[in-house]
Amino acid sequence: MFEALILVLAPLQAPQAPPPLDPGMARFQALVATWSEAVAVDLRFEAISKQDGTWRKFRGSLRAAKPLHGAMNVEQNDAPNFELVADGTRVAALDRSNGRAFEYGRDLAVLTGMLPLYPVQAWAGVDAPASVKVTRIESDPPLPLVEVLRIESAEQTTTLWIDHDDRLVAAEFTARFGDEVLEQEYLFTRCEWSAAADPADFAASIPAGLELVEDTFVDFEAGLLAVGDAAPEVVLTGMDGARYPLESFRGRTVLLNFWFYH
Amino acid sequence: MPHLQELWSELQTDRGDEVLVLCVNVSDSKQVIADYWGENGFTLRAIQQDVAEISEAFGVLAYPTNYVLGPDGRVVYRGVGFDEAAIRGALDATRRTSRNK
Repeated sequence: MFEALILVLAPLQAPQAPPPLDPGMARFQALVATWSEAVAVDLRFEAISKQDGTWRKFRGSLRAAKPLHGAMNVEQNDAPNFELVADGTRVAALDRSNGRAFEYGRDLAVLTGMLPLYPVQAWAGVDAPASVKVTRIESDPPLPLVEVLRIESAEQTTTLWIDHDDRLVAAEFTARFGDEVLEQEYLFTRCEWSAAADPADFAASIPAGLELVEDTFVDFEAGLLAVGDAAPEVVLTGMDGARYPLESFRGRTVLLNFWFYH
Repeated sequence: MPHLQELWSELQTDRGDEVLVLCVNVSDSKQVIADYWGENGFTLRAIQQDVAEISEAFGVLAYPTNYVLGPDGRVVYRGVGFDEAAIRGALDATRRTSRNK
């Protein structure tokens, strides 16, 4: 069994060039170069991630072209989960998992907020990393994973596991928002990226069902109830901890204001 | 929120118990809400939800979103943002409905 394992792993022992003086930054730059030299990029991935004790399946695509135009679509457990559109001046995102919509200036941090796609973020020229560190995994027999790339910036740490063929195998993402810490781990079952030469190709290559939006991202009123619809039977929890069925307010006019502070 | 507080104060004077304003919060802790209310002296009634089940039931994707529900529990108005004129119009419409009864 052990010999068989060595045989399987043997072809993966690609000879590694001696590390340059600054291996971390060189490795990072090499990765980013794929993007920074590209006029447009195309990325598709499938991954699994353990969140709240449950494994979730993710699948998505990202298409982006310079200057910042792009669309990203992520499915979780085969259901639409996250959408993002960048139109050159702003980035709008819709997170279906918690019903939140976001709008950002040119800040692409939301990309890495959802996925460990740090090269994309660097390509967009925001949030330059404070440090980049590459750790080579030495073992005998050698493991399929050869490098761990750790990228740190003020608010985020992204760790990427990369195999001999430069394939992204796994990623760990930690973001700090004040006192809150968001940690996500992804195991990539498939990750392909390529650079398209011509932005026109990019525009033509947007997958069916995804449209590049120029001004507005999504109709935030599309999912609301219609005028005349009966309100759903929900139970409201007051600040006093008591529970109030919405029905109990029948006979009175209710202005329901949905808001958040943070 | 201060605009809403103003509206609420006005409604209480004008219509008493006939109209209720409920602020359904998403994602903030009870403490954050309490502090925000305290700092601003709001008398608005805040509703906390640990998960976004109420927002989801109402199809809310963006904040703020406002609904006006008539005395029969049906939607009279709904919209993203705080369109004060539209909200006031909808509230007035429920007054006329009540008077016609």
